[in-house]
Amino acid sequence: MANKQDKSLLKRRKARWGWLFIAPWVLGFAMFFAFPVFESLHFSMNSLKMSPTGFATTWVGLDNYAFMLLRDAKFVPLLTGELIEMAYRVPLVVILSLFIAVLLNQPFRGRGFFRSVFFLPVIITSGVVYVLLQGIINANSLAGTQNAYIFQSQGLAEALVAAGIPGSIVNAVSEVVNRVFSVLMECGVQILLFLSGLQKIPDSTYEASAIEGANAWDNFWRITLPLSLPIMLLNVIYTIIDSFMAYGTENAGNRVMAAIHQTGFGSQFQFGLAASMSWLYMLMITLVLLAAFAVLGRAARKMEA
Amino acid sequence: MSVRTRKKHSRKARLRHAAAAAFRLGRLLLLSALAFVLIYPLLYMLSNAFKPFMQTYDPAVIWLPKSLTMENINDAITILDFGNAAKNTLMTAVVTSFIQVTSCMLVGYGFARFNFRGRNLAFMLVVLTMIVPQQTISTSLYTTYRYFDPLGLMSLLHRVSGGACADHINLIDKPWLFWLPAMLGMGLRSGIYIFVYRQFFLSMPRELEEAAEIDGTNPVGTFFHVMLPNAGTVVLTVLLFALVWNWNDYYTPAMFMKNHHTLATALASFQSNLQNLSTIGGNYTDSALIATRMQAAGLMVIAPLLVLYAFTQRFFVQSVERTGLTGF
Repeated sequence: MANKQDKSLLKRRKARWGWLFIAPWVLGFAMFFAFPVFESLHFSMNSLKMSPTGFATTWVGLDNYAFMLLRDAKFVPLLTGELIEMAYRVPLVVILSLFIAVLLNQPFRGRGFFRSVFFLPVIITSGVVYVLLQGIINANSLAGTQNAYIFQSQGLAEALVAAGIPGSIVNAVSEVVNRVFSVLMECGVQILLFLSGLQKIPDSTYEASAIEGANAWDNFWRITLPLSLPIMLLNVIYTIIDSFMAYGTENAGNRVMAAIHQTGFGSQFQFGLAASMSWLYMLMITLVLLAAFAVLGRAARKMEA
Repeated sequence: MSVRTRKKHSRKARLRHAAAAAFRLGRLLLLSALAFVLIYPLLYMLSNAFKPFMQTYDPAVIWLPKSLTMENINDAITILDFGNAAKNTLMTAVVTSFIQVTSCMLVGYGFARFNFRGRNLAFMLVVLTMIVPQQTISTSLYTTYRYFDPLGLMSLLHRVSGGACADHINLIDKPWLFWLPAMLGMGLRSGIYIFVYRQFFLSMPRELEEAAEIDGTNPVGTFFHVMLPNAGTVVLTVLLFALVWNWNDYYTPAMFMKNHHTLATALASFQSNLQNLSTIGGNYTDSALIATRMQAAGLMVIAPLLVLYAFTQRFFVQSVERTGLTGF
């Protein structure tokens, strides 16, 4: 009896310590997240005026949203463009990362070197340098293509033309190649995450499967892919949140973010409009994330069962 | 008969051997090609940063310049205002990274090791902070920092002191706007670090702490004496990520640091600053010149990170695998 009481006392005391450990986070969440989130929702329905003594808000209801959706000719196309970009880019990043992670998980000499190299782009792409490089290379490229890529497959294109392949096909091929290359630059963290997941699959699983006569191809579909689904979900989320971390300008990087920033902090300080723009963007991102959860989460559960 | 089957076997084995060798060669070629693509921007930067810009027009010069020059680097240092920008980056990005590594560790430990009501809800909110773009709340964060009044305390002081004390603090342009959220687990990508630490501490055996608890050490003491000495790998992993992301972060300083350039914001305005120079004289309009100067500037900005990574990469890649960041 006394022992039981002791135990529940201990439990309660531990609970209190737990709260103590996360108390700073709770405070930070309230001050730097919850409050700004609600305030920005409030801002999005107001018109804001900055003055030396503070800022004044005028209630405008849904006017900002109406303006953005109905009268502003630029923002909605920007959003749909971003959505389409996300629709092909995210799967491409995730599939390419898984492929490379599977290769890098095999034992061979020089593996350590390649693993280090594949994380290298994280240092470059998470910063301004990347957009800068894209801009420069685009300006310098003789082809003058619409999209800026870090790596131009001009050599390949020239070789294909020399081989007598029609120009339109060469263009299509080099477009795809360039795109894969530019996607590759965004895979650093994802490859690492997949790798750390693959390490956790015990060798005995593969050995058992080999005894049943399965080859490497079967193993990928039967073992590696199903067991990587949770990490795949994590990587989809990471890839999406990574895209709005990136530095953007009107022509490169995350253009929606650049537009929001320009509206709120450009010449006119339209805070209210910028807030409503970012709420619409967040809504869109949330829907994408929910869709990813629905599809991959269900697949993962099915595999478990 | 036995001879014939052995021959057959050995032929089959040789075939399989050849296929395996072909696969290994193909893998090596593919990985080398991809690795080249990843190193390409670095080579491009290096090649341009030390190249006299006129050689851009020389068809004989592709990668290796005929001569080297420090002109680009020197100009880049001047236009970036490198000394000041580096100092500001140190004060904001680097200090903030160390704060984040510590605060997120304690929070992550709290989530991993204690049962308390509301824990799961709170952890879901941690995930929420990860997926909401900074920009959504940045407009109101601006006013939060500009008229900083933590939990109404400043207003209270203002009223109590009869106006002697200001009713807000202006945090704009001060490093505190990086440090304060970082201390409270709300810095740049702090959610990810809390997540990583939580997974790590969940994977540690409980027996470690139980022995200390029986001795009557309190949880904070247990944490510092028992857990921390075992957490070296994850701490360094998080530190490296935090350093890279904070160093490269353009958004926060551009938004809230109006008069203090960091390396990232200085680099972003580099081209326009370079072009402004041409209005006061000097030939700064040549596109090859702009390109080589910009590559030099880019190299200067990420060089410290590259050096850091060069020294830590071996350890880093191993530790990510061992700590199992994902915990699935």
